[in-house]
Amino acid sequence: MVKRYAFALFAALLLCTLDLHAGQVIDRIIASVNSHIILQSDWDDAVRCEAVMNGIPMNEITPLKRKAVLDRMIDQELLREQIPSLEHPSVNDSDVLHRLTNIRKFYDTTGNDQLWTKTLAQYQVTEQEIKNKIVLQMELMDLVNSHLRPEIQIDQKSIESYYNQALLPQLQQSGSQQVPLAKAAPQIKEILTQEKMNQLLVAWLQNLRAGSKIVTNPSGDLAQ
Amino acid sequence: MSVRKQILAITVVFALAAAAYARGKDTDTATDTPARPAANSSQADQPGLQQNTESSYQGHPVRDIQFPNFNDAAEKDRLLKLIAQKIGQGLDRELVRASINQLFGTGRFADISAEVAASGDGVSLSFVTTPNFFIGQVTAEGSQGQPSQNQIANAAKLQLGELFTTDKLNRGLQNIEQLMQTNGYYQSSVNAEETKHADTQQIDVAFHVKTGAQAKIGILTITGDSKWSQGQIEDIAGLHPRDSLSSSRITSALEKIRKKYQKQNHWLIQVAVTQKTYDLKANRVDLTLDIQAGPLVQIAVEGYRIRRSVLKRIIPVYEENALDDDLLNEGRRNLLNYLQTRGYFDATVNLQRSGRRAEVLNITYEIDPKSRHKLASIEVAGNHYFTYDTIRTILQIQTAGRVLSNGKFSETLLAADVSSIEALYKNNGFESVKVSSQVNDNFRGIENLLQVSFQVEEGPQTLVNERKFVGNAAIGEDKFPALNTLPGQPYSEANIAADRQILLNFYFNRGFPDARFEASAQPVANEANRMNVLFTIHEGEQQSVDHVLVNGLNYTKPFVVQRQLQIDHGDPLSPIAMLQTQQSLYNLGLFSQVDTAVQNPTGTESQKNVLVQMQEAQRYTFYYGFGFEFQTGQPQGGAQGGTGVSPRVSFEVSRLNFRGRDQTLTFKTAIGSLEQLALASADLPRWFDNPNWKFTLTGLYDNTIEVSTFKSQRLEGSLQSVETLNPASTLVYSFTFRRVHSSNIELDPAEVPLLSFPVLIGMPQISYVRDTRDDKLGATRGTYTSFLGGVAASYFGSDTDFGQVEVQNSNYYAWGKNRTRDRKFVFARTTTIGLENPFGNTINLQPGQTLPADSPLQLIPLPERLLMGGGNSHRGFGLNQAGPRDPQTGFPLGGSALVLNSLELRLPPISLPYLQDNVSFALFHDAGNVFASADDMLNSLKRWHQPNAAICSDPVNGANCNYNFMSQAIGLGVRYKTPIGPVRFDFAYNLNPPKFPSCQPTTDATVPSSYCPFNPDSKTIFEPQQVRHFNVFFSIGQTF
Repeated sequence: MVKRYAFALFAALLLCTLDLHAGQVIDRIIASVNSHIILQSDWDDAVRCEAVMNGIPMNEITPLKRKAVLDRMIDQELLREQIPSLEHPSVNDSDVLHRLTNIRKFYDTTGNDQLWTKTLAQYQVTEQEIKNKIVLQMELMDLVNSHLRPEIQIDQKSIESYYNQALLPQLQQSGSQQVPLAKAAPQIKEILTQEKMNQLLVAWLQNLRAGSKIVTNPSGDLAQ
Repeated sequence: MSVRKQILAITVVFALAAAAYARGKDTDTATDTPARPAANSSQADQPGLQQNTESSYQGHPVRDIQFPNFNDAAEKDRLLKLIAQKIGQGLDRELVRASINQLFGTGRFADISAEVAASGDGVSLSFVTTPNFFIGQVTAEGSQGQPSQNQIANAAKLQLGELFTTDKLNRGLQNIEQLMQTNGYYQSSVNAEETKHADTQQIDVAFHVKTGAQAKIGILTITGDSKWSQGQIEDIAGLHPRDSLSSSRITSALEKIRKKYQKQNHWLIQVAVTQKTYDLKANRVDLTLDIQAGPLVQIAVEGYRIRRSVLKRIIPVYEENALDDDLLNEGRRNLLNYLQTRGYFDATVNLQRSGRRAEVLNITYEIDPKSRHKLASIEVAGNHYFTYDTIRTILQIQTAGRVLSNGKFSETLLAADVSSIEALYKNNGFESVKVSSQVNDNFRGIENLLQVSFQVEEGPQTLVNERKFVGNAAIGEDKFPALNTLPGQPYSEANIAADRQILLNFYFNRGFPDARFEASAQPVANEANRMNVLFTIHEGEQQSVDHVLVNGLNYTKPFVVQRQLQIDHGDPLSPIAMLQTQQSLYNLGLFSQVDTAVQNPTGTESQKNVLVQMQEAQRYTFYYGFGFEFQTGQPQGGAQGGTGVSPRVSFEVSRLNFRGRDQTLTFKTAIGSLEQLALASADLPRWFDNPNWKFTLTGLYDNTIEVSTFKSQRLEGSLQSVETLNPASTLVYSFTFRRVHSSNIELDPAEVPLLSFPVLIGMPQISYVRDTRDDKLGATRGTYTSFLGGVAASYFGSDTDFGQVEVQNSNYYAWGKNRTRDRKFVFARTTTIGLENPFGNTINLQPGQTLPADSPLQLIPLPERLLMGGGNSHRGFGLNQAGPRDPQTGFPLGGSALVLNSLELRLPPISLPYLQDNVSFALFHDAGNVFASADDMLNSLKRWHQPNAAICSDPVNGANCNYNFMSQAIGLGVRYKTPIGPVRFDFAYNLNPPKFPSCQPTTDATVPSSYCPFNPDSKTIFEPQQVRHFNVFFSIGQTF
């Protein structure tokens, strides 16, 4: 008898507890990067924006892809913190529009506004949100360029090595006409610079993560 | 690069970066990332609909906002005011996002989620929070010796009030383990116990340390180019195999090696422990010491002869035991300064290094002294606003004088002085001032005699016309402290910079940590040299105190701490008030450590909790000591006293925190053959909770020889309360009840029965002290005045009736306006007058007078009489040797009146090798004496010689010897400065020491027994004496 009352009491308490948290979760913290937080709603927005920008249908967004977006948001936040507070990166509006035009071409090459509006509605994003995302990317790219590019020196030997060991075999394989080294050198230098920048950025981000307080999924029940 | 390529690049870049992180994240221990849910990749990577945070309740009116984790209504109200989403508004996704950000910004929450549920015709919104915890008390236990428990707790580097994270705790544990290993505890283990206080969001951390056995030193290997054998190095370092390993031992060993090499002129010696290998089985550490002796460094001076002792003093390499470019250059500058003070104003000093061999480095200061000059005159012309004297005070060049026989001059100093004069004028509104200088090296037609002339073109002075403030919304202009920029006052950038500092400090200490200040100035139209000044203040948000959280009290009553707090709920968050709280708590003497901090310092909330963390000091303190004491004026030296020496054992125990209050019990004893003392006292500061009152209860037993004439035994109890009237003035009320007993009395035997009788004294006293001295240990200005009055009467249980008054007044004057406080000349004067007046059945006796055995009258007991003489009194006498004397024995009797006037000229310290500026001299003059009565004193003030001194040597009339005159002494004092006051040697010469009669015992069988007329009953001879001229005193502290 006592056991039965105890069970009933426990059940009642459990119900009370459930009632306390019976509300619908409409937003919450997903991650914090130092003193900034990333909300569930930020993450959702970013996933939709990236899907639009990369022409990925929403039904192809897997949990792992969503997770990758969150990792990129953390990286972006770490880089954003490196922009000096008094320095306001100036992003050219025409560059933003150019990038937006290129994104629209994924969906329609005719410049049909209705189709674009419909696409945005499908993805539940606004054009302004896409623009904001583009601006952020450009600001961070400026930061990365200004921070890393001056450190990179590509010598003639590396250019020649790339020319002989990568470009020439590639051209021969494709049957294309051989390009003189002098003409290809600027492009090769840029390719090598980009490669080096990628390496340096990876190292930089690892350093930033090591020196930062990053907490993901503070509640321990990350929804995928 | 084209835009498209750029976009592609960033995509590639971020993709790579993210991939790299994904690879490395599992091993990344620096982030505080909780374990993520292990997802089955095959399931997790399935396409699916993302969770949509768009709520179906979007736009519905919010009827209620809940914070389920908060019960305090005030807390809820504060959070409601903080967030963007308000009750009554429609539920808005952006407002909810902003609200979460605002709540997170407070720093109080680790996690926040927003939940919504239907509520009537609207919705109920809840913010479910997980609290952060902030570091509170950090303690350590388990270590008995080194490292101490405090060192262990500090090694964790958990800062009071800051956010607690597991990362910080883990780093703290690592630091402690490292500290233990540094001290040889390789087998130690440490764990942390966390205690969370949900109500205050504080977390206390207790580290439990098990030290294990301390490791021993194993094999010691010496590498490098040591000049000595391994055994010698071990001896030099004091480091041998099988010694216990500790951080202090290693540090000391390295220092000893370093010093040894430096003594051999290897100033670039480098020594370090390069390898430590721990053998777990043997619990020992093999050490490798690497010694790089470096070259032999030889420092020489060429071109001018300087004594080696001077060189060692002015080239800091010797004193610092180090050699680097900075020290060598400082030596060069010091040499230049040295030469310039000797008149070689154009001297040059070059530093040359050369090494004939790799192992020798020669440092040579090449001096070209050039011709010797003397700066005779400094002239200033064109100055109207500032006087010549004002300008002279800022000049570095100096004319020849007593201290600098050639003056001080160089082109560099001259240029600096020109700049200083310009800066002085510019700071006072003379923006266009021009100062030039001219040097005449043939002043008065004498070669190398210099005159320097400064020519000042002041130009117009710019004044402030109007000063306005903008932006000071929270604090009115009338509340601001006094500023330099005022209408009618000089306008200058320096004044504005100073005002900026004053105002920002003012705001900062009133809880405005983000306050900013800008100043702008505009010339006044149609009015030359007038500026309108605008001060713009960006106050920022004011921070205030929410709660004051006090921690760490085990025995102390909370109210004792509460009344010391300078901050309270609602006060502006003032760093100064926090510092004052800390000082105030330290002043209680109850705590060994007091820390104050703001909880959650980086949070954005405007109300902050202030933490006061204390560590109580040990309640029982024991002191014990053994030594020797010496005391002049002892009876074994005859009537004039000798110096007695005795071993002395002392013991003291103090009990702090008595009854949980700032009250102290003390028991102190000292035992030696010269003095036996026992004292018990209770100190009660803040009597009746009044900071201006202090109460002391004392019980004392003292058995001592204060004067060669007798031995005093005192058993005393006293009550004393001290009232502080203001910082300079105190009133002391006391009641003393004592039993005095004299023994070993060296007086007329007829007096002995009366004087040796124990006497009870009950005496209320009141004293007033006004002390305006700038420094009690070495005053240079101010006055000290004290008045002491007391009455011993039968009403108070006293056997004898007498009143007592003592007045002292001291003045201090310093001069030497160009000198720092420590280097001024000080003239000090003190005058003391003391009177005792018997009444009732108590009388005074003149020397030689006796009372009949059956007399009902009483005498003032010997220990209560006024005495004079000694290092802190009249230095023309030994301890208590002044005044009337017993005609039979010649021993001093004390008196009923005294007067003493001391004058002292304290000279500035002089620089001496090894002793630096710590030695100084004083010239003094003491005049005064002790008298049998006040009338005698008044009649003797103008008498500078002993009246009819010859009679004192007369065997017939010697009993009429008169001591009523002002005895004078002059002398020289030597002072050595120490942190507890100067160590003092005084050499005094008494100009007119008194003569006195005495009967001295003799063993000469030919002397008739009645030879001494004053003592016919014993075998003594008449032997007149004179107080000795010379006296030497040693003590600590200034005379007055």
